[in-house]
Amino acid sequence: MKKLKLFAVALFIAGGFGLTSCGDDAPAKSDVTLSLNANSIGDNFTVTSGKYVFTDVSTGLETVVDYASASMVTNLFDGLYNVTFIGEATYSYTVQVGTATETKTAEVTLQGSKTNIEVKGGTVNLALKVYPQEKNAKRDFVIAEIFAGGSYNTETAKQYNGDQYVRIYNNSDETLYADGLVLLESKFATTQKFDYKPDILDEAFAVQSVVRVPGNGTTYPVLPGKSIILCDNAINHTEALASAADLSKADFEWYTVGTSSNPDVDNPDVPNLEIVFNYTSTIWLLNKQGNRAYAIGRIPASVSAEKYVADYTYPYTYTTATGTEAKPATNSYKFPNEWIIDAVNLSPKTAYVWNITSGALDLSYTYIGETSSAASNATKAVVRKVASTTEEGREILQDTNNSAVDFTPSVKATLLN
Amino acid sequence: MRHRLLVLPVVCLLSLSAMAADSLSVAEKLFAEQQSLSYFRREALQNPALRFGLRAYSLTDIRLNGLNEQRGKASLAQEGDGRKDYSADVNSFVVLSDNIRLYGSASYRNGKADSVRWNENTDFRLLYPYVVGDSIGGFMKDEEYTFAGGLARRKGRWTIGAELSYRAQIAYRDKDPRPKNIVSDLGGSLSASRIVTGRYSLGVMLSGQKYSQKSEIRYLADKGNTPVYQMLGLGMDYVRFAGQQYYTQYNGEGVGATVGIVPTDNRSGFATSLRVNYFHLKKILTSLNYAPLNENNDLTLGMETSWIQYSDRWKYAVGFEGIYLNRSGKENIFGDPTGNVYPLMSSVNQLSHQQLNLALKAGFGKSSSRKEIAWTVSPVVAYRQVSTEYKANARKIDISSVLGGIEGKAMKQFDKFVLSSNVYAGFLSNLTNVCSLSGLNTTKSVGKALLANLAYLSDNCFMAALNVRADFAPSGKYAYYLSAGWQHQTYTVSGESNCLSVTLGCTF
Repeated sequence: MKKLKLFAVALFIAGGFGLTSCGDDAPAKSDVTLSLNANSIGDNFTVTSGKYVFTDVSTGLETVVDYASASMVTNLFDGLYNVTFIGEATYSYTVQVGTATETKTAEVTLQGSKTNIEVKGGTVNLALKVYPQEKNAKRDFVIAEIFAGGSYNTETAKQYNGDQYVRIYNNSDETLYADGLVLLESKFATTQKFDYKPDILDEAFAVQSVVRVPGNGTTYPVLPGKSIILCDNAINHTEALASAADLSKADFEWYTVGTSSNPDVDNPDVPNLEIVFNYTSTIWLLNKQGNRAYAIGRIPASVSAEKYVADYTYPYTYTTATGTEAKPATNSYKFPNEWIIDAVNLSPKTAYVWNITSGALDLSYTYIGETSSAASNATKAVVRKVASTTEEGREILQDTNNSAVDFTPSVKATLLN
Repeated sequence: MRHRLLVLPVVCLLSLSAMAADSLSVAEKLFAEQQSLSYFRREALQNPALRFGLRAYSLTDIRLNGLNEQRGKASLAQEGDGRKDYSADVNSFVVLSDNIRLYGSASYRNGKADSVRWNENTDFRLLYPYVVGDSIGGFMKDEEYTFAGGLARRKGRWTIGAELSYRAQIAYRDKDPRPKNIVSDLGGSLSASRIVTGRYSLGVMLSGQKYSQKSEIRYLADKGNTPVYQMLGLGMDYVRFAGQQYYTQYNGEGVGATVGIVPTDNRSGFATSLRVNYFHLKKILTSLNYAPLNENNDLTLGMETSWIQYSDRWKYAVGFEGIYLNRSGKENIFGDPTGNVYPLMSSVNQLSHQQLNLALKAGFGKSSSRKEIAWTVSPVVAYRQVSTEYKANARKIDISSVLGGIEGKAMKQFDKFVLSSNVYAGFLSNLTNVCSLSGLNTTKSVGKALLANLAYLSDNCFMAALNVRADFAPSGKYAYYLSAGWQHQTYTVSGESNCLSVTLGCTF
């Protein structure tokens, strides 16, 4: 009996030790060696300050690392990261003043980003490509608003097409001409990534729609602080749906003919955009899931529409999910980055995978809606923020080539009733 | 699933067949139950072999139950702020012969929880923190079927036992967002005990569990949907897979072992039990090529020791119980999704969660004949601790409370009626409340829900409960009864909670 009681007490004590003996192992970390890869734009190019922001793709947690030296090491939890760098740099250049040569120092901002960096295995090297921007660069047109969501008829519970539009704003202090301005829609989606070959991201934008404002160069002046509206159907949509937009006063419309059963609407009083190329022979709608990038730019005068279509095809291939090689893509063109004035990546907030423009054009993305549900995205747009207002009352819109901070996401389109 | 309801009458029939062998009247059984202090040996008696000696008579209880609980802020957002349940159940302990005991139970429950948020799954505490959540939530209807059966057979100094249990549950909401969860939970145990002295039995039990929950969410409204989130604990979520990942599956397997010593045939004496359970749960995102998203590894240790003394007029007991749960939550990290393929990159033990419950109990009462009042008074002092840590951003909570309470039970027979009542009063006082929630956005719904949960868990509260029951025994073989209960809690900051329950039953 005594032995039994001792056994019982031993059991009890063993349990007590068990309660305190459970430990946990810490999550693994890796050293990440950071360096910046910048195209030098002058002599003595020196990065003076900046911050790396690592965003854990899995959890959204951000780790901010201050720039300290050209090559530095930080320690991160193992995981998949998106990284951005925003900083400042100086360089020197010489100017001729009379017969003398004078050395001057200029300041630039630096921006760069990279998505889906795997941090694991103890050590990782990250050479991040960054792009300098002149601080006092001349302002130009910017995309002020993209209304891709379209309207929604609550009575019929159906989406309403035709009142999508893009608002383009003269962000400079001088009159600009919209003639020749092109609107571009990306070929790729920000929500799905493949190993597209050849990789042209750093040199061009892969597009599926290129539409251009007509004119002889001085036909369509746009005053400083004024906008032009490029839309699908330039009609008063409120006659069909009270909550839709009245686009009868729009500046341009894209007319893509459509089919006999579903023809596109053409308002003869509003000029049509020139269709340099469009992937669809039916009615072109801006992507309602909000997973494309849009850009504006100019095709040099030396490149005619025919020459562009002939010389700038982008027949990319990629390895499919099943491991087979996809056939070279058709209906895909490349639009050189240096022709682009402004670009905006759109992605549903909960489905973003990568940026489909160069980091020099856009560092991040903005969103129409949380998800890719077209019904949820209806009536919503992205609208560029106002950075400042001049004494004359002209608004200067924010343009840091960083859509996440430049735009107010998922707001009601400004032209909707 | 409706055919499972047939299990209830089957259990009843088994009980009726054994009824003839009983010599005690039902009133005597009721008094014997009231006077038993076997709940001090609750852990040890989970072993079917050791349970052989729990009673010397057969006892079956058939019940129809109704419950209405309103908790308001005194609730976890993920479990809702109230519920209404209707249920029927039967529990049976059958002395089939001198050497064989049968155990059986079955139940059906139909209920509805109110205002469930940030959890679209069933069995929140088992799945925590890896549930699918959204900011809308709403009511959650559910139906649950359970049945369990077991036996113990004694041969000489040895007793062997086995038990099998099954639970099936379906939970759903017929309003957007529309989750539908189907739960299947199978458990089993094999056990043996040996009478090692004339007075004590030493028993061991090995148990196993197989769990699955298949979950989906649909939206039927024309105006799109809202994002759902794969939760990670302490307000974190798998940002990468937020949005429209509506199909998930949870698969779990568990094993356990228990060693215990109890006085043979549940007599006076010393009892001890030590339990170890391991449970592994895997969450799979079926809508993303069956990606294995998270895993929980649970280690549960339970120990209990007690001493009970029955005499002709008095009964005494003192006991100590401790249960410790250590949960390690693992997140799988997926690499570059090029090609729409999510390669598994690494795994990180990101969540650490512990629960500790310690209770020191005592019991003192008068063992009376049926013509006198039989009563028991049971004071209890308990300590509870919950600590959770999310390592990547060092979010941490550590909350502990101490509870003091006293329960009184009384029973008396009036001719063919047996009246009984339970009264309880207690106070829960917070001891420590350490919350470090770096980066939590308290303006967002998930942040608000977490803070409300923590306010509730760290609150002080006064508790009171009253239960009255009247049994009517028209014959010596069976009794009908009606019981009503009320539980009330008043919290310092989380308001009040009230729970009303009514039971109509039959005991034989």
